[in-house]
Amino acid sequence: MKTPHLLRASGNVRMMKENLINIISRNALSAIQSEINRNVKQLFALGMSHYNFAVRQNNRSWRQKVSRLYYASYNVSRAVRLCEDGEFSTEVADHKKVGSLPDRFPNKSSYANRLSILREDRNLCDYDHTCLIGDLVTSVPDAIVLVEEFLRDARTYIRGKGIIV
Amino acid sequence: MNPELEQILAEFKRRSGFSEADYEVKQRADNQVLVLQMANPSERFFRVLQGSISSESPEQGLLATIQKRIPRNRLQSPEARYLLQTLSESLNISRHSFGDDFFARYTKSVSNAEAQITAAANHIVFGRRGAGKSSLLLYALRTRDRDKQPSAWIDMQAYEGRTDIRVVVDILRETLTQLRARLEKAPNYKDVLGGIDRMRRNEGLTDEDVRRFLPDVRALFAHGVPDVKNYFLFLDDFHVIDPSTQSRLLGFIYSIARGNNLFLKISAIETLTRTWDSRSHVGLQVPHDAQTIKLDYNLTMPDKAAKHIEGILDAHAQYCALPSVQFLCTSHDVITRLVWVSAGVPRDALNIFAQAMTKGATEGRGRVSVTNVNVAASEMVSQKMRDLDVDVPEGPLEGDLTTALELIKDFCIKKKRKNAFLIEILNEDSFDKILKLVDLRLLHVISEGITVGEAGRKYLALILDYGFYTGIRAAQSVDLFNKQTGRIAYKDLRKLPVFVP
Repeated sequence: MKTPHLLRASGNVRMMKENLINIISRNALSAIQSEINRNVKQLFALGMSHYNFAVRQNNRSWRQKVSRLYYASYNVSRAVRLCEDGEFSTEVADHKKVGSLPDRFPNKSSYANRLSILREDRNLCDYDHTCLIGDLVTSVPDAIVLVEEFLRDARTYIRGKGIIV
Repeated sequence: MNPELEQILAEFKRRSGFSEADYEVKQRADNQVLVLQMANPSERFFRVLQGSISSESPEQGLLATIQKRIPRNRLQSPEARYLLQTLSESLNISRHSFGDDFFARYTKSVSNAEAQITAAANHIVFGRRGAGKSSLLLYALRTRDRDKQPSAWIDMQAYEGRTDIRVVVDILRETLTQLRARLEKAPNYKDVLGGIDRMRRNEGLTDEDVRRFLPDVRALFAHGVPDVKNYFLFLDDFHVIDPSTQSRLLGFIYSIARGNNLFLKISAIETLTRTWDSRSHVGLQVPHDAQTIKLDYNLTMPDKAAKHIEGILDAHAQYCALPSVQFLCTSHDVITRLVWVSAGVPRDALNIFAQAMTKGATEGRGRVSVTNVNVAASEMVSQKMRDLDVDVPEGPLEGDLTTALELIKDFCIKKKRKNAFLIEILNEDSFDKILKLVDLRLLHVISEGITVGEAGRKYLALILDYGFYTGIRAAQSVDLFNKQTGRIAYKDLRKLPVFVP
């Protein structure tokens, strides 16, 4: 991500905005919010592009399919977290938060568990040359259904926050 | 399985109550994954699993998941066994039933009485055994708990048959003890409790002693406590108090509650309850002092009753990792038959369905059939006949009821060969016996009032309990009224034969 960029200014842009409330003008605050919203949309779009790529692959490319499905859900999860509490990170450890969704997100625990499992499957697919398709915990068809449901719920959730994705 | 996974599995079983859940362990190059298997892995199970994982290995995180699988034999699956256990636990409701899962497992009543029961007003909920009286009261209690509003719940079974004046004092003490956290802020709380204890020790206690003391108790409730909108007092199964004492007891309690931010929520069987004594003008007068909510007439709306019964069973099934109750049935006819054989009484429906599941499983079947339901229902009628012996004191009435029932059975099964009939509503002993048989769940109301011909003469429409003419299947010779639980048409009711006692 190139500088200057709003998301580089702070680990949590919402908190930054709240702390600037008595310092900068209302218009400036509104510009920050618009920029947050624009990034939420872009992260969501990135997730969608991973998803569209994944479902176009044939079943022989199951490693690519699982890997891109995971990245679809990871980026959409980042969009939800940025939209909800202003959190954004490019650290590797951020992948552990793929299932850290807001309390009001539908089926929060189910997604928290299953997206974490998908992350583990993705690690096998991308890095373990010995792994076989039978080693996956979530089968490829089930992973597609999981990610489609997650993307749908995330879209509804983000729209509920007033951002059209 | 590695010890951490074993711990997670044990913790999951403990927290969810699903002690026989199927699972497999997936062996991978550098780790193992516990995969629990269920027909319908709902959010509740994932929530429990996530909690179990973080309590056992907060750092490691990922170790276990749940996957959907369809069991080969549905009735003998761990989910079905879990449902049987859950149904058995649901048959008797107390203030502790269902714990934190109450709202997820509660199904609203056919008449949508929930808005009424939670309102700041006095209510008496009438219904036969198993009609859902206690569940409705519990809905109000849990709603208040959620809103952090104070309530006291008195299980009247503890005071069964009491006729002495001290029952008033005992109930007051239990109420004040339960409300201690809020009421003790009032300056006279300890004095009132001390006064009650003195009365309990007084062998010669009179009504007048109690009456003179009540203004002090009123003052206690009148004392304003921040964040307390009002108090609710639940009296569950009030009919078990001796009928001669009921109106007197209610009179004392109402004299504390009236206009004093304390509301009474009472459940009882109507024909065993006397809330008002018209001679002495004592008690709770309906509808002036309290409104009634009647849960007895589910079969007057069979379409809604069917949805209600299915809704209750679905809530339990989903709690037990099944997608729906239909998942365990051979066809939808099973539920419609269940509605008729249980006469829309929720507890009977749960009981019969559990029995039918056991019968199906014993026969090695994968799903419950209409035959299983029929057999379970025919066995249940024996239980109801035993209730007749228990609930009706020995003497002429018991004999009268048995005779009346035999006459009706003869009329329906042999003479008219129809399971439904009309009877004129009259202020006579013979009609009272019919109402008593309704209370005993041997007859069931399908219409509360219908005029057949002559104006001014009203009839009650009833069906005879299915248990009397179903064995492996319903008797072919008996024409079953509205088999498919559709909405009842008046023209069909008018065609029913009239039983003259």
